This record gives sequence, C-alpha cells and structure tokens, in this order.
Amino acid sequence: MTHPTLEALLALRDGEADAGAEAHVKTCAACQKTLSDLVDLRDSLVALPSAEPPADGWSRLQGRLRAEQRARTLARCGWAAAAAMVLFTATVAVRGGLEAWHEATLQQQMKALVAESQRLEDMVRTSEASGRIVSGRTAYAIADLQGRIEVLDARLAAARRDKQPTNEVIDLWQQRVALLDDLASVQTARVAYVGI
Amino acid sequence: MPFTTAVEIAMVNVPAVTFPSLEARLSTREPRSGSFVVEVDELLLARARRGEQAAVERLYRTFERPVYNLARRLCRTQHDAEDVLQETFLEVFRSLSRFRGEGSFAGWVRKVAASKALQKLRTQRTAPAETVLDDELVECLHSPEGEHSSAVVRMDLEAALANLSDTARAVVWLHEVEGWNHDEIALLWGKTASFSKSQLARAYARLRSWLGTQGRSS
Repeated sequence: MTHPTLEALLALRDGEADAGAEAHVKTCAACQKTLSDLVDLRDSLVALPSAEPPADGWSRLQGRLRAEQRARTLARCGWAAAAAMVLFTATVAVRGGLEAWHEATLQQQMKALVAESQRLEDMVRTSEASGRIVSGRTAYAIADLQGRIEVLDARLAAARRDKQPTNEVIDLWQQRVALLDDLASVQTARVAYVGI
Repeated sequence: MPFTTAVEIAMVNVPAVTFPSLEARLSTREPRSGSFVVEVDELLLARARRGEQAAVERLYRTFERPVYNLARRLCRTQHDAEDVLQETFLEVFRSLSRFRGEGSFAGWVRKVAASKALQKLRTQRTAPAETVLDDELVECLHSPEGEHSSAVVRMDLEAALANLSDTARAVVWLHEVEGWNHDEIALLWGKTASFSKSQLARAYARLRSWLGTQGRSS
C-alpha cells in the first residue's frame, strides 16, 4: 500500500488534496494519525505565545520619523535657497545687461546731439560775423532764442554733475539742438536778407 | 468594513474532509490573537496621512505586536527583530500616502513586515545552516509524553522551530500561523508555489522527527 506523501497530506489538511489521497486516508489509520499530527502541530504553532514588542519601540520610531522629517525640510530649504540664488543671479545678469545696453544707447544719443549742437553753434557764429541786424522783430527773435538756450545751458551744467547721461539730459540736449536750429535759421535768413 | 484579505478569510474557512474524526478539526481554525486580522478605520488612515502624530501612534500601537511577533519568529535574534519592527513602520509611514486601499491595510503591513524580515535574513551571509540537534536536546524532546508539561512541550516546539533553516522556519511560520497561501509565500522568494509546498513538507518532516511523532504514523 502506497501512502500519500507528507506534502499531499498537508495539502489534504489545507483542503487542497486530490480525490485519490482523500480516498486513501479514509481507509488508512496510519495516514489518519499522520494527518491528525499535522493538525496538532499546526495548532501548537498557532498557540505559541506572542513575543513582547520592545517597550521603547514607539519612542525610537518617533525619533527616526522626526529626524527624517527634519532632513526632508532641510533638503527642501536647500533646494529653495539654491533656486533663489540662481534666480537672483539670472535677474542681476539680465538687469545688468539691459542697463548697460540702455546706458550705451544714451551715450550714443548724447554724442550725436552734442556734435549736432556744435555744428549749429558754428553756423550761428559764422552768421553773426557776417552782418548787422536790420529789423527789431528779428533782433527780438534772436534774443529770445539765445535767452532760452542760456536757460537750457544752465540746466545742462547742473545735470552734468551726474557722470552718466540720463533721459532728462538727452531731452535737454534735444531742446538745445532744436533752439540752435531755429537760431541758425533766423541768422541765415538775416544774412541772406542783408546780402540782398 | 473590516480589513480582511481573502487569505485571512480562507484561514478560518478551511474546507472539511469527509472522515468524521478529523472533519471538525480541519474545518475550524481561528486566527491567533495579536494577528494581522485587524479592522482599521479609513478616517484613522486619512489622519495619519496628514501627519497627525496621534493617528500615526495609534496605527503603530495597533500593529506593533503582530509585526514584532512575525519578525521575532522569522529572525534569529531579538535585536534583528527590533530592527525589522523599526524598518517596517518607517516604510509603512513613508509610503502611507501611496497606499490607496487596494487590499487591506493590515495585509499590506504584514507584507512589508515579512519582506523586511527576509531582507534582514538575506543580508546575513554567515547564516548558520540547519544543524542536527545535539543528543541532550533530542533526549529531552523524546522524553515520555507524561513527563511533559505544556510549558515543556512549548519549549520543545520553540527549540525545534529555531533549529530549522531560515527559509524553512519562515515558510512554516508564514503558512501555518500567519495564514499565507503557497502562492503568496513563493512570491516573496520569487519562486513557484511548489517551492513553498516542498519547503513546508520538509520542515514538517524535520519537526516531527525532532519532536518524536514520526514513529507513530506512516
């Protein structure tokens, strides 16, 4: 008589056996005893007392959880600080670049306005040396223009204390060029009239 | 809703065999006290996910005994079991936000605990091989049944269990006491169910040999 293996009896005990093993055990006292032992042994294992967990288990775990939380917070702060630094650097770089470009543009504009201003002044001086005033209205216009240019020159002298050109200085130079242009036109017209 | 897995349900509903003398014993199997068959309130989980310390502690208190007991039975030393207890709960609380309720929470904690315990065993390269019990212990285990008090029988079983190899002991404990089926056990080792079945049968053969029951049956 061939008895089922221990593995087959364990399966039978757990309700997984095939019909053949079950039919054998029904008629075999020895296998029924083995099966009974397997149940006993399992019941004895289940009945073993639980091990007592360590009394300080929670406090140790709490300490480690807090340490992890702190580490995560520090890591987050580190990343935030690094991101802020990168952003700051990028902002400074961009702003610096824009400011430099703006300053160069103003310098260039002022240089052109000063050159134009000098050209017009030369033209006015040439005209003045060429003849006399023939009308009161013309004399008044020339005096008015010259007066307004003097006011602008005073403002420009005050503004020149700042080393860097500003929009306001450029605006003053533009006004000066416009007044000189008017003055040069009046002078040129007077010379032409005198010439007639 | 109680968090009871199909395995846990199967534990208490083992199909009956047809011979009457064993039928009743096979059909009733109560889960052991302090096991993972625990009901966990969804609200408690939600509070723990938000980081409320009281809820986190309550979850720990609910599962510390079953986790530690599982770890103690699988690991070789008390120190290792305490490490597994810590590592299990660190993993559980780290991953709590990712637990979406597929399966029971208790089943998940149990799986993490078993996995951590096996990791601990695997890291110990100097694992002692299963040894033959020394003569003195065999003599003690084979003494007449009448002389055995329940405490002595229990110590016999404890000693025999501890003498199994790490793998055999883990398979026996997970299957017989924790109620894992062979497929679940095999998954932990990345093997098939037949691995778990043969490990269990071989472990039972040794236990019966050491405990002196093999001569009384086939």
